[in-house]
Amino acid sequence: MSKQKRLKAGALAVLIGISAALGGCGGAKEDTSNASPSASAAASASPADGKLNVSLKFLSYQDKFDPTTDFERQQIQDILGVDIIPSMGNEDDKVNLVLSSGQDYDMISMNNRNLLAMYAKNGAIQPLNDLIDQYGPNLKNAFTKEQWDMVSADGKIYAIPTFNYEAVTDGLVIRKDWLDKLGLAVPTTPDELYNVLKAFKEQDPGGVGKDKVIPFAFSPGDDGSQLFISGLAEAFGIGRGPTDFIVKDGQMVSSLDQPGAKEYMSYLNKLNADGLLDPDAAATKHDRVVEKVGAGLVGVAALSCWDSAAKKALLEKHPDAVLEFLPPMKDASGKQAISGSGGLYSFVIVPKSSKKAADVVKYANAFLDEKNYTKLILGEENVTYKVEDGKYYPIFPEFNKLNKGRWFYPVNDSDVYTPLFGARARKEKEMGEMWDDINAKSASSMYTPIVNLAPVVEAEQKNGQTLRTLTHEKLIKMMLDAGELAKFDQFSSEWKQKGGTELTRQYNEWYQGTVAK
Amino acid sequence: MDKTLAKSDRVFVWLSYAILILSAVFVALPILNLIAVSLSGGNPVTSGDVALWPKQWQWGAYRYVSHSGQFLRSFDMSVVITLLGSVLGVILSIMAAYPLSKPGLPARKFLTLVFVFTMMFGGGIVPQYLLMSGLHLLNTVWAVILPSVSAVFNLLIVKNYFESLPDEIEESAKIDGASPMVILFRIMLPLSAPVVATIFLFYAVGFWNDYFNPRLYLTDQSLMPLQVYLRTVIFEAQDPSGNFKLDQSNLGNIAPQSIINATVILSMLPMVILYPFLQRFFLKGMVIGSVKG
Repeated sequence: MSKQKRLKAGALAVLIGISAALGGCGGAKEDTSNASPSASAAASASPADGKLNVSLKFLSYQDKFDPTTDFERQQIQDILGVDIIPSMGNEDDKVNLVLSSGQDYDMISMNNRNLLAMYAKNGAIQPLNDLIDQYGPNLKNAFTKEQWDMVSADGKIYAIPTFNYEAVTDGLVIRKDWLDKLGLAVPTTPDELYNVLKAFKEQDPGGVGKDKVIPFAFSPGDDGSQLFISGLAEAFGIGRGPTDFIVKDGQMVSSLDQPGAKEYMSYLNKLNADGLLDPDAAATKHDRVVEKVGAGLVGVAALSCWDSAAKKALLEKHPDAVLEFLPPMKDASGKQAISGSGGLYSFVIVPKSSKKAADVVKYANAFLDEKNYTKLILGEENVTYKVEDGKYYPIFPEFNKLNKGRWFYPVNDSDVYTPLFGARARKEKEMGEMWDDINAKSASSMYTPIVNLAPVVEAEQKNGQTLRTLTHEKLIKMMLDAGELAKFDQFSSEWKQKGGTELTRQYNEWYQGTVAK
Repeated sequence: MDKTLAKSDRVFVWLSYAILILSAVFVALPILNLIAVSLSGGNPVTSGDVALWPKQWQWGAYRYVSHSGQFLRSFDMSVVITLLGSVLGVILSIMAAYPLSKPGLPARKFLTLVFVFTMMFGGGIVPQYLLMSGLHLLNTVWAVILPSVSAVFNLLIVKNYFESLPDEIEESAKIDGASPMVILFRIMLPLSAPVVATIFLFYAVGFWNDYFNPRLYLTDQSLMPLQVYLRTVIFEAQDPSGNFKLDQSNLGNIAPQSIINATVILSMLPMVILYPFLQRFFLKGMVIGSVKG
């Protein structure tokens, strides 16, 4: 009998445990929902100090830090009087569920513009025009009509945009020490580059072995790679690659219609045929390129300034190695062009159920205000960051606490953000050197790819993926096989037929309607 | 080796050993490489020099993954979810399986069908999310536990096992005056250790590795279980602007791949430790109930 009692007592304990846990969680939830209305009631009471005194429930992406105790949250509280109640996880399907179940978020950060259009159509989010007119003078100043269009639907603004910094991060690096050893000049055109690669192959200046040296490496094996090599492709009179969109004679057109598209593919094919291209190129992902550069096998590679690991590994093995970015290659008329990082980065929407849309707009507006902005982004001068020769540098370890600041930004304007971002780019010596190097060589020839500015058109939603898959497969084949290269025109018409023509038409329609005006 | 074996048999046994050892090596090599990379310095990893033994030894990757309070919180969370979920799951499975294993249960076939039905058809994500939201269970551990707590597959294993036990045992208990609850808990359960261990392991592995439910139902960072946290570690390590490089002063030069590998190892470690303890039941349990005695 005593055993049976113990059993009963045990079962009871489990039940109590369950109900306590259930009750406990329910209670905690009520607490937070009660807290916000009272906070906002206090808000309207004291707007005199210029602070907003409001709490906003914010949903953004999942990241590795605790946003509730983050320094940036405290800064936003101290400087703007906004109490951000953070939540994490903004994957597309999750935002769908959050909106359809009427969760009480005030602002949600996301970056899928297809969804923005859909939410606007379904009335799941609030239009912000009137509020921006009323409370957002800084916002209005910061963005052009074209930029607002990127977060608009049916002529109404539905989100507050965050634009990325504008700088060049990706280009071609070269082993300058190899070049010097052979007494060759820095190549400035694709043909000169070809000759340099040939010399690398034949003379093996690094002494890595003629069968092992990789004159040219890039990563067409990346998922969905369109064989873009910005800084090289533009020299053929096309965009970043054969299927990139460009503006030609006031029209937005596909690079496929330019003679340079085929010339570019012929160039890559020739590199491969002459043994100048990484033999594993077709399956090579970016990590492998970094690895091969780091191992000192590669002469020229498409690399990012963030790949400082390659430089560090290289210098450890070969202390005399010099890894430098090449200036963008010149086209026939001597013009250089290389794509930058500009464009829409993310945006913030206000769900229908939020009663604080005005506060969200006021918050974003105050965030961009000159007197708050630098402090919110970089903290205190000479404490967390310093300025030398007009360049921003982080001060460690204090700068660490701003590491995740970007998670909180409700809005961003590339004009003011770009110089400040330098402090992040210079977090590490080698990374900063590479960042400064590529931007010094490319700043004057940087452009923002036109598609980064365009809205997501219907044809892109419908056929974009199909076209990218087709491009990925066919271009890799053309790179490896002269027989396939001969079928370039066939590919071009297939691309158009499978939705390319319609895609081009819709992009151009947008372009004529906004930018060209 | 047994000396009494014929020569041809001996060849066969040696061959089997050779093949098994070879396959074990094939399985072990990638894991050794994983460990070696996680313990190697940034430069050798970046230039692809690490094979099976670490170069430029460092513990920074493990420190990086585990140094934040979030790692311990997430680890606790995963342990709580796994234990609570598995214990509840085992209890529910047994309680449901026992009556279903009794031929005398009215509408037994129909009730079984109701359970089996849910194995093949589900409500879909949206209704489930709305249900969780309606029950105010979002951002609670229950949102992660309840959807997977009654796995019908496990229930059927237990049911089949109960059916395989001789009826006579139960009859004799009845004669002694035991009620159904007493029979279940004091007669059947002690006989069912293998099957309990088996489904406990099934539940535990399931809850430990669960990534989808927490991602869907939780937005509060303090509730994130380990798997969700580890994904953010991987994302951060791959961040092009090198967010993770910030703490370099105390971490040293570490390649993102080392961090990812350290993550993988830390996430599989608890289950690797748990397996040997439960495995002897597990091997028995897998075939339990498959043959009715």
